[in-house]
Amino acid sequence: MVWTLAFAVFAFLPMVGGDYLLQIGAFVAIQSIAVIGLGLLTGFAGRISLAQGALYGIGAYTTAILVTELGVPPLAALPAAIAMAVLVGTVLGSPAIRLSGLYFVMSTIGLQQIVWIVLIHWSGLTGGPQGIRGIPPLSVAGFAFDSPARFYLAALFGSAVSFFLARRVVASRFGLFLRAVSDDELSSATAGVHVVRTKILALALSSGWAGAAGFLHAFFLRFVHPDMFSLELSVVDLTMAMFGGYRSLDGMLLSSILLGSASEYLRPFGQFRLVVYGFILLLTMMVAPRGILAAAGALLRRR
Amino acid sequence: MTEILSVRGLSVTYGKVQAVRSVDLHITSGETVAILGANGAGKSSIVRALTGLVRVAGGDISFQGQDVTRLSSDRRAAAGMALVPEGRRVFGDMTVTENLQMGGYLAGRAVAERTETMFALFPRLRERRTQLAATLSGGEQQMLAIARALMRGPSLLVLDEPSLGLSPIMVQTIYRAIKDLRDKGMTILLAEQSASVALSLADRAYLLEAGSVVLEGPARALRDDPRVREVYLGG
Repeated sequence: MVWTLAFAVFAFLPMVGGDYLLQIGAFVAIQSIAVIGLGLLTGFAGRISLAQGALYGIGAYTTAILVTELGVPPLAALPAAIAMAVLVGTVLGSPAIRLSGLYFVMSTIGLQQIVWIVLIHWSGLTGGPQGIRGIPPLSVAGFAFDSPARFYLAALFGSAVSFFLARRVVASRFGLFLRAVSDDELSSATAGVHVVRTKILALALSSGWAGAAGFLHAFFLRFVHPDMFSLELSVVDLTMAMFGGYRSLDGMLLSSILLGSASEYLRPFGQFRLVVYGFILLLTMMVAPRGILAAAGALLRRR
Repeated sequence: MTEILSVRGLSVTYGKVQAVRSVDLHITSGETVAILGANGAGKSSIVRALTGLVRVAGGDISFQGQDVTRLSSDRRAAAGMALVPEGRRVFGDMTVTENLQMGGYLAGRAVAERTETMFALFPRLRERRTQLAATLSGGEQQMLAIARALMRGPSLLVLDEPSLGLSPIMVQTIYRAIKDLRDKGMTILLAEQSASVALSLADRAYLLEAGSVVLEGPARALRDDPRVREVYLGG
């Protein structure tokens, strides 16, 4: 309810903000999709991944290649971007999903690097270090989202859909399984839950959300480059998901907004931005391991 | 009486350590059977092998006429086996009601009705239904673990050390509930270190030493056996 209202309020941003603000807004909205997807995996299934940026990139590149090389209509690239991210995420991630905590994280860094290297070196398909330019604006049935205001609204719509869809997932029986499996695998298995299948499905969902974010990202800058989807993006996404909170989609959305817009203010730090994010992640783990909303709630109750 | 569980030549090994050596056991419908033994005698290993949590090194497990030796835990659960694990292991980050939902999702539509039955069995859980399971006392968690296992209407209830770490009063409460279940006809397998409580309600028992069955028979006979008396009932 609160969020429905919030999304509605954000929809009025074009009336008050200039292009610069709208671009930040679009960036935050797109980012929030990837963060919420990652949150399904980290916050609910308890698997920490540093490959979300790569899967995001798969979605963006799939979209870019389809619309520029093959002339596929923009919207038709969405299911393809999602499907490709799910395919890569589950095929490369499934063998690792059984590994315990730290080993799984290490393997996701591997996945992240593999994708990035493929994007850089498979020049024939990806344009290599040149990236892919000339992506047309997002258009649906002849209507082009070609101004910052229009694109912002499209991205906001995407963010809202992904958020409410994720809420449905979390509230479903499968959402209960996710929490159960991250709580206690033994008890889940003896309660009749197929533990490995549940984790792979969580990975697939999280990849799908990343793919959708990548789809929008391709139309955001209308240019894709491997460095946009490097380990840095994965660290940023993970920071946002952790900062937002354990098992709190609300918190993740809030932290996407806070940290996503903050990344603009962090611009002066240049390459050291990643250090700032690392610091935020560290502080979160130490001070508010359950995320900002949980920490704020605890503070309020103490009063 | 039909045989629910039949185990032949069961062996479990961890690396070079043989935890269970060629154990035979069987349970018929409606029976309460206890597996007794000191720490490390192999009770938990048998329970883990029966419920599919460890791979067996040898032997066959047949459950309701079906060979389940190679089935995964979730398949065995679906076939009607329910475990109350050692140390309770409730889902700490979930409420009492959600824990019960997890236990009962295999039961499909009957969940609401079954939840009521569980609350009738353990009224304490009803009072705490919206509380996170991690905040319950040890005894309440044990009640929840049992209720969670019963939610799906199992044909065999396996309890691993239900009295471990509980106060004597709580042990009484838990055992009274187990006795209730037995009297209603539930088939129960009980792995327990405190032989006196277990033998007070079991029909039959197996005594384990170093992974092998050294004694088996009706609970009454075991209670009077000097070997059991000496070691487990405090002389």
